Amino acid sequence: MHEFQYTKANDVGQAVSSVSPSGAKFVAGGTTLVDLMKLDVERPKLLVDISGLPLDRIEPEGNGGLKIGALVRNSDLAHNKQVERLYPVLSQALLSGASPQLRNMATTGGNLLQRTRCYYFRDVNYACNKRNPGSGCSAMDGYNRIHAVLGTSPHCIATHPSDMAVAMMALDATIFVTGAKGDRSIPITKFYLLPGATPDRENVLGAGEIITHVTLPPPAQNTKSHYLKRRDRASYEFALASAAVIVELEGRKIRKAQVAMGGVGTIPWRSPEAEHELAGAEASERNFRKAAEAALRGAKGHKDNSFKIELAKRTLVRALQTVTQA
Amino acid sequence: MVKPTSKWLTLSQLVRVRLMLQDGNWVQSIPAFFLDCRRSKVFPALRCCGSCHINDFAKKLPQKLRFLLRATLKENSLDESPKTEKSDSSIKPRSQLSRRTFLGNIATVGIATTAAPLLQVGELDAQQVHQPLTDVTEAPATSVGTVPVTLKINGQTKNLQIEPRVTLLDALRENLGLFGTKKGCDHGQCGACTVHVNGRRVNSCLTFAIMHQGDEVTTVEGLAKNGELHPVQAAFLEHDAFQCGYCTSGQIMSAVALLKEPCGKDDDAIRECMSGNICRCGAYNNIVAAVRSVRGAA
Repeated sequence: MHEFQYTKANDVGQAVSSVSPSGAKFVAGGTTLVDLMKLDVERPKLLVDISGLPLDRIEPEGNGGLKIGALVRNSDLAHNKQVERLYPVLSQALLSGASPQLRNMATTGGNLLQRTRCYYFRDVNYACNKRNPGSGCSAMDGYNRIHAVLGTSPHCIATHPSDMAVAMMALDATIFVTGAKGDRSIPITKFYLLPGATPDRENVLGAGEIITHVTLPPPAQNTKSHYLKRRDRASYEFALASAAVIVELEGRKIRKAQVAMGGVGTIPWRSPEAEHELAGAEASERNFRKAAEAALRGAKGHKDNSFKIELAKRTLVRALQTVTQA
Repeated sequence: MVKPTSKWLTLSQLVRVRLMLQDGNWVQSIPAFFLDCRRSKVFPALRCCGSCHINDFAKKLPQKLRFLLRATLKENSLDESPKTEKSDSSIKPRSQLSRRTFLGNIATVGIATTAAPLLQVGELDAQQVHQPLTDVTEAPATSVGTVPVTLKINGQTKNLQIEPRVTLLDALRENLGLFGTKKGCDHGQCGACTVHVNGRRVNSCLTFAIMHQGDEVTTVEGLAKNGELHPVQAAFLEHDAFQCGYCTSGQIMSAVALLKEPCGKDDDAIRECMSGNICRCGAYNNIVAAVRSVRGAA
């Protein structure tokens, strides 16, 4: 691992100003960053440790929603009573990810910003447009079983690996950041960037900006939510396909649905197409299947991952069945 | 005939062995303590069956040193019954005390001041090492880029002079001589490096030591109290919950932490809650039984 300087930030202002020299990065839980530093994918010259900042609270918002500090550990968020009761999809998504040890270390902010598991991104011996813009994409003609079928471009097909982000995408979370230019809030639907021609840019954060907290809107009445994750192993593995669904039921009719998918997109994949099919529809397998077809319309498979298209549809159907069970 | 003068090979003897071989491949001159077992890929060798490298290594030594090595190892019950003159049928592959203390002594003389591998032992000044592990209060300030780092491990304060890039795992093993925590994958995927930070289980390979100043770190060495095993340790013994033992300290640390976490009642829940620790020997059934027994007794 490269040598680096280390400094611990005592307050948010100090954190922001410490990280402005280029080549500096924030570290909180470290579960993505330290991993990538060991692989030489990340080589910061300066690490600014923000793990001591006072951003680790979960508090109710005045409007009935929830405010989650950026440094709340994944395990604390998953087991929080409010989250379990009001946003079960989020708790389930968090608990489906990683391992207990990693969930104790990983933070909300870090989870949103985690990097892809693409084998070629993680190996500096291979060409990768995300790591090294313009150098090519080794996954296109390589082993791409875990790669994306939605949101891809000729430059990058790397999947966004987070489960929590998929649940938050379905929940319409808002991300609050602060930086040298002040504070701003970003709806999660606008936070992530498709790879396009610039796969090295994954989100709209500016240099030196730090996520301070995330808010969730108050849950609507009569909603049920669920997260279903499909993968080769029973545990401790990233998704091949996953679905976060939030459904407002009136009898057997779906008033409104919110749908996001994981394991299949270059970013956490919100699906207004599926939501449109479900709005006002009867909770039946036929309608679920129509929604799934709409969600995966335009999906593009590669040599090893075309199976994901059908898998993702069935995952969404199963998730909707579970959440609308009588 | 050269008789061994101490219970274990001294550093001077190690250095002499290396120089005398002069075979251009100095890795082979390092005793099996520092090698991976070629069969089971665990480090250090002698962890599983205790016999793999000793004969390979011994055959390369000149006669005089071969005897010295064999006598030293025999005294520590570390050799297998050889086909040589000193046939001895007592095989005890795991003489924990001598190997662990030996490696611990290396740390005592402040050899590993950074994340340098133990292979560098052979290059340092020869010293007789007998003292048991003591606090490393000051390591030689020879390395550029090191900073003072104070850690609290198992209730004891330790002052180190290390680079920021030293992981908590490497600090525990290489700088503090606490070898109970193991390096399996070094990427947070196997759980062998599990320790507790402020009572919570974490992968020590994925965090830097410098980030934990002021935290309470507990390793497997810190579980037993007043010579009495922690109930989880006792349960692992009672239920035969390990084979080679390499994953075991991580499994035990996970299980201890699990007792205070929200985890469902049945075996499937135990498996899920222990899913961050893998076992290549496949001792899972007995590990689950051990954890179940401790939870049941609680």
